[in-house]
Amino acid sequence: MLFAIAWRNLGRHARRSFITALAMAVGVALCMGSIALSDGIFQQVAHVMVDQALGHVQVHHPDWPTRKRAEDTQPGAAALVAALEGRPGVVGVTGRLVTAVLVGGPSTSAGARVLGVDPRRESAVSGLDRLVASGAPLGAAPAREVLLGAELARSIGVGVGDEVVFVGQGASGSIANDLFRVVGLVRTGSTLADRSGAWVHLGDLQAFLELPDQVHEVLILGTDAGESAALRAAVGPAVPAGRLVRTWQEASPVTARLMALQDGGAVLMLGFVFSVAALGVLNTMLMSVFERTRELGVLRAIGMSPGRVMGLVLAEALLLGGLAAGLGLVLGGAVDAYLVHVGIDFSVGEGKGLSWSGIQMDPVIRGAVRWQGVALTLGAVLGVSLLAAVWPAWRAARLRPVDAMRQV
Amino acid sequence: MSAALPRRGLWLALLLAALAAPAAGPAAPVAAAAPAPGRPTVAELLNATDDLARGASSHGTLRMSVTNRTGTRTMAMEVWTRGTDESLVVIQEPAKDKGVATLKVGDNIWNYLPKVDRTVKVPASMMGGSWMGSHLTNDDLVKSSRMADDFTAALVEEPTAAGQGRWVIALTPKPEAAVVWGKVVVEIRADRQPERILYYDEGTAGQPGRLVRSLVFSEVRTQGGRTFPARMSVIPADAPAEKTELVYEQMQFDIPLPDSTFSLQSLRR
Amino acid sequence: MSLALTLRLAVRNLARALRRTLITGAAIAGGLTMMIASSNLQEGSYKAMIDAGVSEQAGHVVVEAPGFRAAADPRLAVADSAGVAAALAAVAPPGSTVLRRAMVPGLVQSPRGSSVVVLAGVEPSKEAAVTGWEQRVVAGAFLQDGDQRGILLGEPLAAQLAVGLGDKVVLMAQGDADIESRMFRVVGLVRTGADDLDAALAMSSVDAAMELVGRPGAATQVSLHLPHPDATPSAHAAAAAALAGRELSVLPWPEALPELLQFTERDRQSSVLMFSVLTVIVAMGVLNTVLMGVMERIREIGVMRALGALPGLVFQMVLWEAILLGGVASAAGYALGMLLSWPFVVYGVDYSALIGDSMEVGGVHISAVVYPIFDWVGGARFAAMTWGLTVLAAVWPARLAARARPVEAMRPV
Repeated sequence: MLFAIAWRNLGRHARRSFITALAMAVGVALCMGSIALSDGIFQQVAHVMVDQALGHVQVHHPDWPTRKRAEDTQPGAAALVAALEGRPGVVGVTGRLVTAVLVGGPSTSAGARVLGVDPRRESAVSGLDRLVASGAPLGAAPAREVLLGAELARSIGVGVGDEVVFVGQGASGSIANDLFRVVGLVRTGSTLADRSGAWVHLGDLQAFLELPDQVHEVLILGTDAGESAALRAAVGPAVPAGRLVRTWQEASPVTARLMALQDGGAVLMLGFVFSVAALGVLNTMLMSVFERTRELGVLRAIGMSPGRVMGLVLAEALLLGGLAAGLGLVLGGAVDAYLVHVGIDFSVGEGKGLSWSGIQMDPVIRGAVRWQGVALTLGAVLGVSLLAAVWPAWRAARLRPVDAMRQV
Repeated sequence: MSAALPRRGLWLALLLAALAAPAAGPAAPVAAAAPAPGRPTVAELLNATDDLARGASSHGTLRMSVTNRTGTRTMAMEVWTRGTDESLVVIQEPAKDKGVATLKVGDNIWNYLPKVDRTVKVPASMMGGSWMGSHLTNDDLVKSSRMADDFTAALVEEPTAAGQGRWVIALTPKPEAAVVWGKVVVEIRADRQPERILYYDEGTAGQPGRLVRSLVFSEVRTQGGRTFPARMSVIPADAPAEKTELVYEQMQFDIPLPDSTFSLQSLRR
Repeated sequence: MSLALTLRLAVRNLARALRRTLITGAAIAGGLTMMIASSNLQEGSYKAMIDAGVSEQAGHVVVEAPGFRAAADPRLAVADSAGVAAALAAVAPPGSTVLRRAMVPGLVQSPRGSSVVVLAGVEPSKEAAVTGWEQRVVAGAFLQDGDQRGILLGEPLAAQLAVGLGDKVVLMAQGDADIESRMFRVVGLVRTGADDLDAALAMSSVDAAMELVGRPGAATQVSLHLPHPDATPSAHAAAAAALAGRELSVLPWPEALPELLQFTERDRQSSVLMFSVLTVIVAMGVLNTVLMGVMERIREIGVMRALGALPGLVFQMVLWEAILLGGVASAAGYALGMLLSWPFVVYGVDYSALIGDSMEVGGVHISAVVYPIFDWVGGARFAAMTWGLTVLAAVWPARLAARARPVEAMRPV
């Protein structure tokens, strides 16, 4: 009954109600857009810093992370990868062999850190294919192809199509040496990797180092970086005893801290946006109630109890807030759709994006929408509307009808 | 008692033998002449093979076995050296590595790899890497030729008049020498054959230096007209079960070697 | 009717509806205060980032050998670096510093290990005055002037080599013909917080580093650090002129560090966008309140019109109300925003609870304590924008008021 009156009251000042609701709706749309953009940035940062660099769960020989000795390998690699791929919640698995070799060009040579990878699996987890700046990615089968970091290639004077010699140490102690063909140059955005990084097919490196069916690292990707502990539990049964299984947070506490910072910074920014938007909502609500003091006085004069007057004001505020929420949802939905499908271009030249903490972001940042963000915003606008109405509602309840009606 | 070291002296040769397997040939310590009457000075002791080191050359075969966590592996190599600056090592066995060669000229090292027919120069960043999988590093191979300038010697112990005991010489790096060791101790038997060379770090705040690795000489024989220890073992102090052993076989000394022996071009033959 | 009259009417109207005036004014001022305080913080962090990036990686004006930047080969160095430094100092404004630096990739050896490093050569006291290296020393002490044998190592690097303070290490690098070595003693351990960097970090005097590669007296970079970045263009021109004919590359910092500039510009642009939208929200609230005010006074306006007031007067009156309200509120917001920033300008905003001692953005390390700066001009721009939008928001209600027909307006509600 109260709401019926409230609704009709709003209708009597249709234009005012509409403008108020619209103003609040723009605020809602802005907040929804900010959340979507901020989530989009976070997702991209998480994707590069966690998914691609660390995976969600890592499996190693127990000594490898601290000493990184070549002999600390995991045998039975192919079976392990296959078994892990079958575990629930696993999106991608990639095994890698890591070693230092001497890479020789026509007249100069340099030390390099070589990763032997399964090209298809590796690209699915760390996106190696996308980092190839010139030339082509590694082929699917071992063919003694190599991707060189762009700076490394330049320092030894080779380019795409040239041959380089790899010199390293085989497991038996003999000198491992072979020719590899440069099929592409890689730019990761990290100077260290570009100056000393090289990638070859896992099969080639296993043959080169006399380490058949062995890897140093196994990276496992799940659906959500936040669920790494659950993923670790899920893959546990497939891992032979004695191996070290860690979540990405355990493998790199620094990254975990950085992600927390990113989250914290986003919350701060959103708080700021919400505050300013709330101010606008507060203003309009306050005004719209205060202006109706006379009306409310009349209601009191004809016998409406203070309680009910207050309730009426609050009901109107709630309805108005609801209207704003609805409108805001439509507007915000449009903004979010734009952000998700088109995104905002932050490129800084050469098609590259911003770099933050050593990682390269995509030039175009797309929004990411979570229902929690939308719910939060809509809830906030309703809350602020109610809050704004409390003071005037209370005042309205305490009015002396005579005074109220006297107001012009 | 401290002594200034001769320019290129026996101790240089000693350290060559110790630190640079391929260069061990001609400069191997030798009791070339009868001991000088009375007690020799450190300088004389270390000087004894100065004549040998000067312009000497060598050619022979070397057998190296490396024992580490994964097992024991043996290689056979052919070695040529000239003076302390030039040396060439070519692997003969196992068949898998046959033809792989290391050429050292001065402070530079090149590796030749027959399978890919390429020559690669070892850059500064790889100098710390192990040579041919042994407990010696690439850097050990080049450092020997500059050791003379880097140490001062002191006699710590000497044999009795009856010929019991041994000489112990402590070599201390000069203050600004580019040497990582804190102290190198050379032990020489009464018959002037080297017995051990011990490498210590500097130690910290009051603690004496700790042993980092030992070179142990044994099997003194006569080869190519010279008497010297044929077997040298490199033993890391932190992993005493591991070692690298070098055995010199069929050595010839002071033979003429053409300059082209130690050139990059001839590496490929 | 005169302007004076219009103004008096406007003022009186604002005063009569005091509560509405105050609430609306507070909303405008409040929003502006927050925007200005936040913008001051942001400008402060840009400045910190630029200062850090410019001072550590380059200088406001950077002099290098041509081709060094591309090849990263320390043998491509500025010969006679002392002479170049003197030439720069001669044309530099007072309060500047000229730094000579070296960057030498090589190998560091200890009795128990070896590792690849990049040896950074610096002039210790001058470097410490310009950059924050001294604060990164976690054990021992920073380098001293004249110490040609001291070296700082990254903490994890020292652990890997099994060396500590006072221990010897040997550095090897490629000279002209041969690989050269040089002995150093560890005088301090540093931590930058970036594990990759610390594991390959070594620092010595610039002369010692360049001697290692056989280029005594040279430096891979000579940089000029100005007291104010704004002096860069003129300093660059003077430097280029002073060094003309020496076959050196002389760059101002935006060319030496393009990514840094781009990062701050992009970020600033997106902030301005967001602030604009926020201002629009506030303006819409203003629109609403002005409109309500007009509607409430419609009878009074009707009376005025009936008495002969022209529509133009009514329009101006409503507009002036907005101009005055907006002006005062904007000024108040500007002042409050600066006032709110004041304690943080002095004490800084401490993010270290979130991120530890320092963080890396755009390739640059900045400390976790960020000091906002008083961005007088930027803040004034925001205030002007707010004021303008407020007035703009009042246009439509003003027109509505002006077009009200007296008879209808005076009809009882």
